[in-house]
Amino acid sequence: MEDSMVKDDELQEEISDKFLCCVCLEILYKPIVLSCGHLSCFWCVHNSMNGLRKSHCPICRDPYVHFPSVCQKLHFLLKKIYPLAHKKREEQVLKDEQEHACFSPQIDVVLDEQKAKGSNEESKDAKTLHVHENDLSKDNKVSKQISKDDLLCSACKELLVRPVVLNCGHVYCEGCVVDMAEESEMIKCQDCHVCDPRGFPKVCLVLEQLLEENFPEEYNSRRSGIQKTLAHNGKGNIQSCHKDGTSLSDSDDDDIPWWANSASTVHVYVGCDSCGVYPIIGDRYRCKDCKEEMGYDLCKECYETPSKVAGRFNQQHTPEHRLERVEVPQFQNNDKNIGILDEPMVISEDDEGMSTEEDDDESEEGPHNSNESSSSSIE
Amino acid sequence: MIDFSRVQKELQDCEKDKDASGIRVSPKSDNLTRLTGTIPGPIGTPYEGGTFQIDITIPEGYPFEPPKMQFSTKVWHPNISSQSGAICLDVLKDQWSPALTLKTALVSIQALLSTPEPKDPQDAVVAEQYIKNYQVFVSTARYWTETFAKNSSLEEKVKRLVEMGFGDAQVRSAIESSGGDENLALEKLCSG
Repeated sequence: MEDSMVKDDELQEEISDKFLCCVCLEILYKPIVLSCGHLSCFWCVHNSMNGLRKSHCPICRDPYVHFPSVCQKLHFLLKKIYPLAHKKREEQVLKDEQEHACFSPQIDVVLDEQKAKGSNEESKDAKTLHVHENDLSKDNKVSKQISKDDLLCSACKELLVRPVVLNCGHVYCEGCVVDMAEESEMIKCQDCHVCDPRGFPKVCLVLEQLLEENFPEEYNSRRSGIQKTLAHNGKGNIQSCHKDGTSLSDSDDDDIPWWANSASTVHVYVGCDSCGVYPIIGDRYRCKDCKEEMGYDLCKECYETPSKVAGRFNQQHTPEHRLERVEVPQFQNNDKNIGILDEPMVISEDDEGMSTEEDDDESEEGPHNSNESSSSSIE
Repeated sequence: MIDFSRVQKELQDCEKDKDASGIRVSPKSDNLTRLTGTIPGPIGTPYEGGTFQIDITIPEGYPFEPPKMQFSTKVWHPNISSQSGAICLDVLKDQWSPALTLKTALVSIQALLSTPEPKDPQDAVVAEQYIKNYQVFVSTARYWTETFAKNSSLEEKVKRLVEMGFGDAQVRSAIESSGGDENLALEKLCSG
C-alpha cells in the first residue's frame, strides 16, 4: 500500500510535530492559518468548515466564517525543509483532486509564472524558484537549511517578529499589522491590497516557533526591541485590538436554525471566492461564464469592490466574466435531506428556488448534520 | 470516503503509549471501519479495577464526523445505557472536532466514568438512583464492575471463593460446572 512509501519518506525526513496537520495527521500541505493562529491543510480546513453556519477551529473551537487563503510563505518553507514528504503529499492530493475534478489553488504554477515575468519582489531568491518545478532531483540538491529571506515581513522587510497571517495568506509582524490597522480601520494587506474582513488575527505560534528555532538570537533581540517600541508608543496593549467590533460571539444564534426564518438569506454550502466567507449570507453573485463545476461566487461586499481575485478552487475566472445575482432558494419543510445540499448549487432564474436539492457524494458534513437538519426542519 | 491512513496513524500512536495511558484500540476487521477500544476504570471510582470494552464504528465522513462508540461491557452509569451501552457524551456528538482522535474520545469516556452527569442522563433509572440513593448507586456500579468488567484468572477466582470459607476442591468443581462464572459458582456453593 501507499502507506509503506510514506513511511520511507518520513524515516528520511523526521517531520517535526508542529508541522503535522491536526486533522489529517500528515505533513501540512498548502497550509491555512486561521485567525486564532492555528493551522491545517487547505482541504482539511475546507472539509472541517460548516456550510450551514459559522465554523470552529478544530483545535481551539474559535468561531470563524472566512475560509482564508493558503499561506504561501509557509507552504514554500515546508516544501524546502521536507522536499520528499511534501512531494509525496502533493502527488496524493493532486490524485484526489483529479478524481473529484475540484482543485486547490495551484500556487506553485502561479508563482513560477509570476517569477518568469519578474513581477515578484522575491525574484532575487532564484534558488527557490527552481524548487517549484516538478523536479525531485533538484529538490534534493537545494539546501534544506532555511534562510532569513524566507521569513521576512512583507511590510518592514525584516525578520518576522510575532508573525500574524492575514485572511489573504500573507504574513506580517504583529506590530506592522497594528500600524496598518491604525491608518485605516481595516487591515489592508500591502502585498495584495485586499482588506482582511475578520478581526485582528492572533500570532501564529507554529511560525513563531520556527523563527525562534532557526534564528534564536536575532529573533529574541527583534522581539524585545519591538516590545520596547510598543511600550514607548503606548501601543503595548495589542490585545485590545483583538477581535473588536467584528468578533463572533459564540453564544449568538448558533443553535437557531436559519431556515426557521423565512426571510433567511443564507446561501448554504456556497462560499465567496474573494473574501472566503462561507456560507454567503445576503446577496450572492454567481459567474455565468466559469465552466468549473464548483462555480465562482462573490458576496455583496466583494462584488462591489473592484479587485477580482482568482477562485479559491483554481477556477479560471477573469474580470471579463459576467456575474449575476442569485436568490436564496426557498426551502420546504417536507424536504428530507435539507442538510445535504451540493456545494455548487446551480439555480437559474426561472427555477424560482424549487428543487434545489442534489445528493452530494462529497458532502463533508455527512449524516450527523443532515439528521440534525431534518429533525429541526419538522418544526 | 474514510481517511484510512489517518485511522492507521491513530492506531500506531495509540500503540506507542498504551502502557502509560492504559488505553488500547485494536481493529475488529481488516478494513478498519470496526474497532474495539479498551479503557481501564478510573481509580477512586466504582469502576476501579475494571477493564471496559467499547465498540467503535468509523463513519464515512471520519474525521469530520465523530466515530460511533458504545460500551460492549455492561456498565452502571447515569450517562451510559445499562441496556445497550449507548454513551451520552458531547464530544461524540455536536462537540466533535476533527482534531480529536479515537484515543482522545476514549479519554473523554474515561473522564465521563469519573464525573457522571445525572442531570443529562442516558439511562434514567441509573440517574434516578444516583440522585436519590447515591450509596446504592455506588454499590450497584461496583457490583457491575466486578461482575462484567473483570476478567480474573481461575486462580484468582478460586482464591476469592476459598477466602469466603469454602473448600478448595469444592470451589474448583463449582467453578468448572458453572463454566468459569464466579457468581454462578458462588450461588452453587451457597445453595449447597
